[in-house]
Amino acid sequence: MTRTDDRGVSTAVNYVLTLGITTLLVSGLLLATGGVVDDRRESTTRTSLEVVGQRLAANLMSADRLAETADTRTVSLTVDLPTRIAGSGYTVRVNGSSSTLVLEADTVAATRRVSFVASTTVASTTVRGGELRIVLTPANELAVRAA
Amino acid sequence: MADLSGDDAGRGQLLLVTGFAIAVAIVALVLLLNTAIYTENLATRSVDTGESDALAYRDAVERSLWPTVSGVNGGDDVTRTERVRNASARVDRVAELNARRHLLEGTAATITNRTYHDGTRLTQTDANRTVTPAVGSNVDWPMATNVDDVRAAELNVTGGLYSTTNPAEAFSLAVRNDTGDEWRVHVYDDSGAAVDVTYPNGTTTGVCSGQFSGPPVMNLSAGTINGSTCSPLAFEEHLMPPYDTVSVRYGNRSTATYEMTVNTTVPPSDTDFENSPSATAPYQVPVVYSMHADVVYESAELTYRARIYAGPEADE
Repeated sequence: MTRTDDRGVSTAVNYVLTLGITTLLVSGLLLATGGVVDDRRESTTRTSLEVVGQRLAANLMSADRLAETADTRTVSLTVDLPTRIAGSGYTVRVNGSSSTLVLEADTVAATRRVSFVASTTVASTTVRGGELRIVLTPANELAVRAA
Repeated sequence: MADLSGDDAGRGQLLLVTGFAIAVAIVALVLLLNTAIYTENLATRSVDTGESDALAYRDAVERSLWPTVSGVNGGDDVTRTERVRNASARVDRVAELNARRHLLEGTAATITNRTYHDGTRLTQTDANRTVTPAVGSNVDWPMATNVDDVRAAELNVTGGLYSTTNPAEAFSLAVRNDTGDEWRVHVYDDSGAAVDVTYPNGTTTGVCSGQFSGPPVMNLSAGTINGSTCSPLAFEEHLMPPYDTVSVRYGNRSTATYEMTVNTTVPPSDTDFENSPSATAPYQVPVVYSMHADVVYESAELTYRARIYAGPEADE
């Protein structure tokens, strides 16, 4: 009587198959989850940059309203913006000639452009996001500076 | 529960790592949700930084300052120091009243850096007196020089007019500006009181004759004669400021009372006007002509400072 020595084989195959399928499923799950997180992060960052940009533009226009009154000597307006958005720092590029603010996140591929309207000349500059100050310079320009 | 030590140890560790990774992903999503909620919150917050309040404060102060300060110019027997002290007290009051509403919101609103501009009111009240200096017999004389501005000029001719058909021989009062242009009003008797105006430098003539009856009472700032409009009389409409000289020619050919306020302190001659009120001679009284001040509005977020003018007309 010949005895086939294959009793342990099915266990090993079963083990390999189980481990392989589990690894496949888990990898898929992790990739999908990671993708969702990244996607959500970018989306949240873009929305936040838009909101922050709109707030800064509104304050810039408020400062302009004050600056354009007769014989204005001083305008200084503090704008309290978040230092980080969705865990990422960001920069604000003020473009006076095109009357736009360009907000760009450091670690996420997210950029937002916000327009403003001002009668007073606005100095072009780039600042880090956070607490900012809008001031009327001696040259009668509005400048956005770090507070 | 996964077996981490038996035959299924590998699979159990895999599930544990997976669970851990998913937990991290969930935490990340929760943090992103928090960011999203914060963003929503930020988006719905007011962006009012108080600029409307600052402008409202400035506007309120600008509107109320001169009506309040000009009240110190009443009365004749007051020194310049007293006028300025009274004006300062009134400015304090204006600042305090207008700041009260803002103080309740933790905002400081003040009026600082005040500059009072000295003026002089020139007056003659004796209706039987000719338009000549207090001392001396000059008939052609400058009432005021370097005046910069003139306001509330009234000339009430009471009689003694020179009979002529040539205005150049008559009593006249002239205002000359810094560029040398001149506006002049002649008052004479040409079969009745006649009032002619020439400007600038005699190239244009305006005639008020026939528009009034009785002795002419002229408001040279408003351009009226006996209450009726005669626009050539309004010298400010025909002569560009700043002004330089107010002068009289043939002051002996009319009797008149007059009053005008000039934006200067120095009379051409110490003897032209008495330094205290007189019932028989022309006299000068110090007044506050106008003022400049800084309106300052300071809140936690906003600092606004602007120079404002308070005077009877717009700043020039």
